[in-house]
Amino acid sequence: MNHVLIVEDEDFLVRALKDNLVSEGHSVAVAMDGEAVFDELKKKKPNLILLDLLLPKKNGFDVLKEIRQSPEWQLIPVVILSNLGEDSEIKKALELGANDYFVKSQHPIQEVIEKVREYLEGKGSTKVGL
Amino acid sequence: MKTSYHKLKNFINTPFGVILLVAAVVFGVEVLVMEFLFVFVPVIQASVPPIAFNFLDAVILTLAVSPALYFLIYQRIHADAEKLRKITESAQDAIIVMDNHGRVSFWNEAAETIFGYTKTEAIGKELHKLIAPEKSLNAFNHNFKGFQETGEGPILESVREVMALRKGGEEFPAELAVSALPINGTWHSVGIVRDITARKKRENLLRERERELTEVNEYLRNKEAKEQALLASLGEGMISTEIGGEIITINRVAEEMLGWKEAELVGKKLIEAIPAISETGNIIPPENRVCLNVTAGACVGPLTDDTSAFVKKNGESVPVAITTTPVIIGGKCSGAVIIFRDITNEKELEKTRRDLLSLASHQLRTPLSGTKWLIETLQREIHGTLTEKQGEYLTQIYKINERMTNLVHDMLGVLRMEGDINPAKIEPVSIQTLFGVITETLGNVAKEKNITLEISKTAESSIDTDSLLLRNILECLISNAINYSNEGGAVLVETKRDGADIVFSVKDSGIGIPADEQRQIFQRFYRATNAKTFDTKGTGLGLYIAATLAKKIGAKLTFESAEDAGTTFFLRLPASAK
Repeated sequence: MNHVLIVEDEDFLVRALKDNLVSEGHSVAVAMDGEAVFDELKKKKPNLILLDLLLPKKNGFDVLKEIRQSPEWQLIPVVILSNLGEDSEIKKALELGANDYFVKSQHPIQEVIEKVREYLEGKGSTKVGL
Repeated sequence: MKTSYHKLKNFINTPFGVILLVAAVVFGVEVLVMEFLFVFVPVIQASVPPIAFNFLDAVILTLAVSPALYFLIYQRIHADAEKLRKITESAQDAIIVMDNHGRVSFWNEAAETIFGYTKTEAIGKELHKLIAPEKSLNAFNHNFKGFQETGEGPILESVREVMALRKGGEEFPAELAVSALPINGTWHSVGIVRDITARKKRENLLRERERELTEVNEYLRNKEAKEQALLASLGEGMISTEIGGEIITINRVAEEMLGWKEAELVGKKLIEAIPAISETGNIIPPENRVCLNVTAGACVGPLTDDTSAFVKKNGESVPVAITTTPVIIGGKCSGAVIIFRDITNEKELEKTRRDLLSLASHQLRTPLSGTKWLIETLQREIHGTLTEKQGEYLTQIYKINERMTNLVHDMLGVLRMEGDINPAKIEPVSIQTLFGVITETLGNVAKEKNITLEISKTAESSIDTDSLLLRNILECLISNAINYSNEGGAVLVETKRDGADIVFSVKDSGIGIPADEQRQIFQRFYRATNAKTFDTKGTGLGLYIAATLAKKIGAKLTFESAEDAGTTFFLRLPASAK
């Protein structure tokens, strides 16, 4: 069973993601702010992280940077799910080591679920730019 | 008393007077000699008897000696007269003597030349009728009587400018000096007349030149004053420099903006006296200063730069938009003019706008994405099977949400585009990569509608433009083509070379644009009537954005369309920036 960590502060988005991922047969952990991420990581190392960018306590960019600098977690695929859609923001996230970037309102959840499946099956390709 | 003296003097001046005087003198001398001989010779020599004074002898002697003496004196006078004649004849000025009756009694050669009358013609004529213009005769007649009697008159003993008359009636300016000349008890006058026509001409010319010069001076002064006023009233800072970059002038606004006084900067090199810092806050090395090219004398420009800030006298910095223009005089670069304005407010506004946009996007999208995903979750029936009606309504809600999402997306796009003051980038863009990204974004949309999206292969590999803007335009055109085609339709994207241009075409077999609405199709929020009924999701912003972006990258966006027969959009832009 694959373990997915959802980092998202909006409850309704957490619910949508969790319901769909669980129905796919994955186990799910949730962090509602940027600091809780590391508690969850320590509890159980996930196979994939879905990361929002605007988060309480510590923003997603900093979380991503920390993950990519940590020897233990740096290889975990990170897919950004954010409603920040400026090119500069997307570029920054990819430069910090995000594997993928979805502007939530522009993509059906089905696409996100498929992307998760690709990464978990080892087929996920890292985007290098848009 | 005075009159009798003059009369005597005049009498003596006559030949008869002279002879009489000479005779009197000779006679007197003889008498004295005789007397001397009569008295003193017998005293010295007692043997000599006194010589008696013989009146007859004295008269005979006088008559014998006087003519000789007179002749000697006459010769003397004659020689003087001859000398005088030579002098008067060689004079450049007319020398004219007028007798007591106002007639010409002397007329030299210069007078002949100046007035045109020969001596014979002139002598004995009434002088003023000969050489004075009609209008001055009255004054002459009025004063002449007095002069005849007293030798005095208003024009005597001074030099004045008058108008004179030549033979033939031509008037000319002359300088006149008149002196009274008493001859034989009557008053004559000597006039010296100088023709000053040439001098007057020169003087007039000089005056004309002077007037012109004054006018030019006045014009220049006005012009300078206007320019000064213009520079002073210019709302922007201005610095002018020599070819080597040394500051010549700085205007008041620049003084206020930078905190320097003109006197403190004149003669100093601009790039040394006024350092600049980049957006990241680092001092820009002189060799990288945008204005350097012009101030160093290379005649390029105008150059613009709005990414740097000038360092003020007090060390603070002020962000500025700078335009540097070379000053070209006679085809040669002779310096530069640097115009700049404070863009602190613009920079702040730009930052606020960016922050606001980012936040607004996020805040608006989050609830929309939540709704979207939750509906999808329900539609996937993870939480139980839906009834037919429930499914149908969820589809409706999903569509409403999508419409809202599109509207937010497009409106933010417009805000971003309209507020974007940055120029389009120019970089080599790989056409293959571009279409790869577009296929990834729109492939699924086409597939969902069962529309064939065909992007034909092209020999063109690269184009110089702004990759993001070009992508936005093409995505807009292609998604429109998909949206306004019936299910099962086809969209064909082609790339062709036409001379120096590359033309992208997006062809659909959709509903087309009604002929009478084609002119409005690029207007903001405009939607064709058939489009409104065909697809309720549209925002009316897509083509507006596409057209605006096309303009920004220097492309031409056109279309051919007929209602129900499909539309083809053409985007034409130069392949190479060079």
